[in-house]
Amino acid sequence: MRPSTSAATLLLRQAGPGASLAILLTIAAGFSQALAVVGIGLGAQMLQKGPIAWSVGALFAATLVTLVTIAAIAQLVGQRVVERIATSATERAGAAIAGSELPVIESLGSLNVVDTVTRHAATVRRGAHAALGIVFAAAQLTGLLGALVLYNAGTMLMLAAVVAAGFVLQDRARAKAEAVARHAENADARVAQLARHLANGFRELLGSRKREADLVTRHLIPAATDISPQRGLARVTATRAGIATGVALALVFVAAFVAPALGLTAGIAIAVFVSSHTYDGLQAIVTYLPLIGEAGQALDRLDQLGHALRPDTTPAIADRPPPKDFQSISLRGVTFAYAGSDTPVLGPIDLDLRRGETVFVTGGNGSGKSTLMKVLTGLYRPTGGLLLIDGAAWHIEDQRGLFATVFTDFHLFDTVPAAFDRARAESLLRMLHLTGHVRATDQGFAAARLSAGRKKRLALVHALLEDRPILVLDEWTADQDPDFRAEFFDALIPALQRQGRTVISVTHDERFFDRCDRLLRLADGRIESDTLPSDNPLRPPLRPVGGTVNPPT
Amino acid sequence: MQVLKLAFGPERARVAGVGILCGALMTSFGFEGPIVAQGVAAASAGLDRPDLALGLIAVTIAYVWAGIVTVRRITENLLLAVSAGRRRLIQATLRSDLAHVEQTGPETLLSALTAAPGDIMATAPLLARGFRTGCYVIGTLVVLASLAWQLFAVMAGLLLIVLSALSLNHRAVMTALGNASELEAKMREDLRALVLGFKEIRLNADRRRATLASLRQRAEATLAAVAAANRRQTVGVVLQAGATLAAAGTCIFVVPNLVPGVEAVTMTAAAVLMSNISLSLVRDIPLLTRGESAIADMERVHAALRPAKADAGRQPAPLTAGPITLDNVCYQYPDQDGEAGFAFGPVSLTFPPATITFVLGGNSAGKTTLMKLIAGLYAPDMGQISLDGTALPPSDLRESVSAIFADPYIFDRLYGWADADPAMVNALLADMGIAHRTRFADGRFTATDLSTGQRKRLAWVVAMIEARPILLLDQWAADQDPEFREHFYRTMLPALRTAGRTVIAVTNDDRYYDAADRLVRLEDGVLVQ
Repeated sequence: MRPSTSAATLLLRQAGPGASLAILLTIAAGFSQALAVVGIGLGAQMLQKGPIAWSVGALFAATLVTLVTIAAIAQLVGQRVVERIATSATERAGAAIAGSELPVIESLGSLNVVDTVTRHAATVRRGAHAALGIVFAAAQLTGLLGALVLYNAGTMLMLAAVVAAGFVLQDRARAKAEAVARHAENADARVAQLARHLANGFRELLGSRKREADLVTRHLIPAATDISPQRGLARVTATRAGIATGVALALVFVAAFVAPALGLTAGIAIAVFVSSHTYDGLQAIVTYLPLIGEAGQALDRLDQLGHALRPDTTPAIADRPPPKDFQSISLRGVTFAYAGSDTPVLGPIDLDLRRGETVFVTGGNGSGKSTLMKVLTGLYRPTGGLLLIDGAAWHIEDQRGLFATVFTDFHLFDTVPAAFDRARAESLLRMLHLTGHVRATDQGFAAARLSAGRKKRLALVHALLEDRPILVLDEWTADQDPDFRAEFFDALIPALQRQGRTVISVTHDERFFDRCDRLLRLADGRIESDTLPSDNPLRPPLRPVGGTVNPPT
Repeated sequence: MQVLKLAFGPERARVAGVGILCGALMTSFGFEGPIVAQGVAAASAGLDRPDLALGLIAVTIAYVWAGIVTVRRITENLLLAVSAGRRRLIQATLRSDLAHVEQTGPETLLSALTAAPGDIMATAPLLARGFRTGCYVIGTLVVLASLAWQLFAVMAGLLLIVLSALSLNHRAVMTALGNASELEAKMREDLRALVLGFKEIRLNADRRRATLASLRQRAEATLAAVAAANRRQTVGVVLQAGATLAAAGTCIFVVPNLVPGVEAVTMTAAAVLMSNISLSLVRDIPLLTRGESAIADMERVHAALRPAKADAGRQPAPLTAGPITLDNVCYQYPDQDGEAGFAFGPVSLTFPPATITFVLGGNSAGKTTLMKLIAGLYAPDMGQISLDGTALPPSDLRESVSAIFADPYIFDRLYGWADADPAMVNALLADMGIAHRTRFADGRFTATDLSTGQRKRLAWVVAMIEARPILLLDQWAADQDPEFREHFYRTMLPALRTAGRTVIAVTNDDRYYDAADRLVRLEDGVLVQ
């Protein structure tokens, strides 16, 4: 039983101080339930000698009222703890995600992270419920058998031996149960993965009957409707429940027939009464144990996720407030390589960026543009070299505070910062031609269906509202129509320049390259050229197409 | 209770299930209680009853067996029901159209397919126990009636009070739990925002704090809502825990004082029977109601996935395409939050075979809607789309068209083309310059977590393997670098035309407009010349 019980303590530890109270109350509820049963048994014993005095009955009634009150409080507190455990699992995962690093999230797969947390939080809730159920049952059984010591220790020992034998039998079934449970969990994970294809790739599936037939008919439906892993689990569960039933009835048999035959007749009414009340407790333990095992596994997986998310633990650099502005950012031999790889995808990069510059960054697919943007903004931590702000190294968190961004895969939040300037938001909406499509309210922005281009414009509004000294845009114009693209380069960029904002924009719009102060061209993760646009013809010659379209591997 | 209905099994299984259950249960469950009670009563009174000892042994064997059968049978029935429910949901999804699936939301659909079944299955052992209690109660009533009609009346009255209180409470508990699960869904949305908006959150500590605070706040709200549901459930716990023990106490402490001459053995047996009415049933109610609301969730999603407008029977798709023609096609998006939905059309257009057409227009001009209509993903509200002179329903259009949208979803396997030659697939990957990011091996792509530009290239590879006569492209080149973009407009597209394919591409690359045979411009959902 060890792994399961440790899973139970693990579960209950999740809920903090509230859990101890819930456990104590649940134990009290279990004991008082046992007490009431013993009371009835005691009554039955006294009844053999004739009717019982009213005062004893009144005592019993008082006990009952206490019992009911304790049970009600225990239930209220206990359920709250159960829910607290489930929501705090989600909260902790949220905090772990928020404290993680971008390369980690990217390697785990964002949707995968969400799925893992959602599914396992549900399992944890069931397990927490089960854990309290087991505490109650254990307290009840202990109370029942313990009370018997006062009346007939011999019978009590015999009953305890039967219970112990039952647990030995249960334990033998445990290894198999755990293997079957793991198998079922893996099958579930596979279904979740395939169901994700259906939910998120529905458009692509519709496009081809052949693809649909293959994914749905050959993979998803067989996996989603395969009941054999769960059936295996049910068999084991049924056997374990059967053992518990057998033990419960064996207890009655021992107390009612075996013990008297051996001459153990003291307090017999109490003994038989007690023995007839073990069924519920034993059944509850068998029913709940697998749920706790599953929850233990779910917690393990959430823990693994938490470890995989590797929180950022670099200590803050003390005694310095984070920079609000900057004069120059210098990269000295900066490189970046993905975890587990020796070959850097970026660098070494040597670069000085000055306040108020408009820098365009261009280069082929895989040339390192987006990686450079992520290193610059502090989303990726350089694996080598130095990044200095005004000549000093800063904590990466402080570095991040300088940038507002719109990446190609931006996320539109439906919330806005607390200090939301509605008038300014409205003027920005006007500037980006979003009036009539997006409304600024005091709570944030309200919009119905937006096209991809308009969503990106709204993302720019969000970024501009952040008032950071540096604006980083990654292929921002890619989804905009030619008119708006021209407006972006001819009106928006100059307006930002006038405000003294530093703009760093990844772009392929060669026709507008003359709008920047500097043009960085990247190739193979390095800066190939760093030129003033005046040095540049308006349309720089392109490398010939054909054999050279492949980025170097 | 829906779970009960499911536990008794669907269709064929129901008959067999009920038969086996009733047979097994009535013989053992019904007798278990009375025999135990009599055994206890006899032993209490110090009577020697070897017949009861034998009876107990017999009933133990039968009872253990019946218990195992019950759990197995109920689990089996629930499994069949869940598996049928999943199948139904998957099929309903496939029968539905894109508009409804988009409205339902991928997360909701996913949770109905993956999380809900777990909650339903968790009720199986609880139901088995509940069933045992039901049989026990029936057996008890019979025995009590045979002992004394007064006992029967007390017991029946007690049951009536407990059951009616529970059922009165049930609806309120379900409503409260429904509120809680809505709040929980909102909490999950915050979690999603944390992950999908990770970059934005990482760069803005205020936003991170705000999102985490919202997550915490919604977690608290969920807790409060669940607590409200629990307060209601506690009524049931109190009633049951108190009532059965009170009844047993009455048999021992009260009745013998009021009814002179009643036998101690009788009252002891009655007390055992009454106090043993399962107390655990009420503790299981939270899990049972969760299973219950999981069934409701699956039903809700199923209802939301309304079937697409009826199509004519599916014909084999034509392999060679004539011209594709739109004749007065209109499509109206549903209104949202009181604002009128976008209206597309009427649009009439012909795309001759082996031509390249570029679709131009500002943001929200209807370019993507046009693509979805031609792709058969949206069914026109009016007008028709025909291929080679034959009007085709959306389902047939979908078979003639390959489409790559601005945000393509990439499957890890080549579903539908499992027998694709790996060498050929890898050659295509190399052609598209992404062989260093992903390879095709063992029937799957080694990586699908690619940048948008790379995902579009991978989608192109898949489209080439599909080899359909018509190819729709939505801003395909937008995320490509200048060299590859040039390659796309000057080499890849003309090569398709030479191969006889019809290409319809949404683009804003005005530098390359000359690469098209024809330009079509949309504004506010209609063509402009």
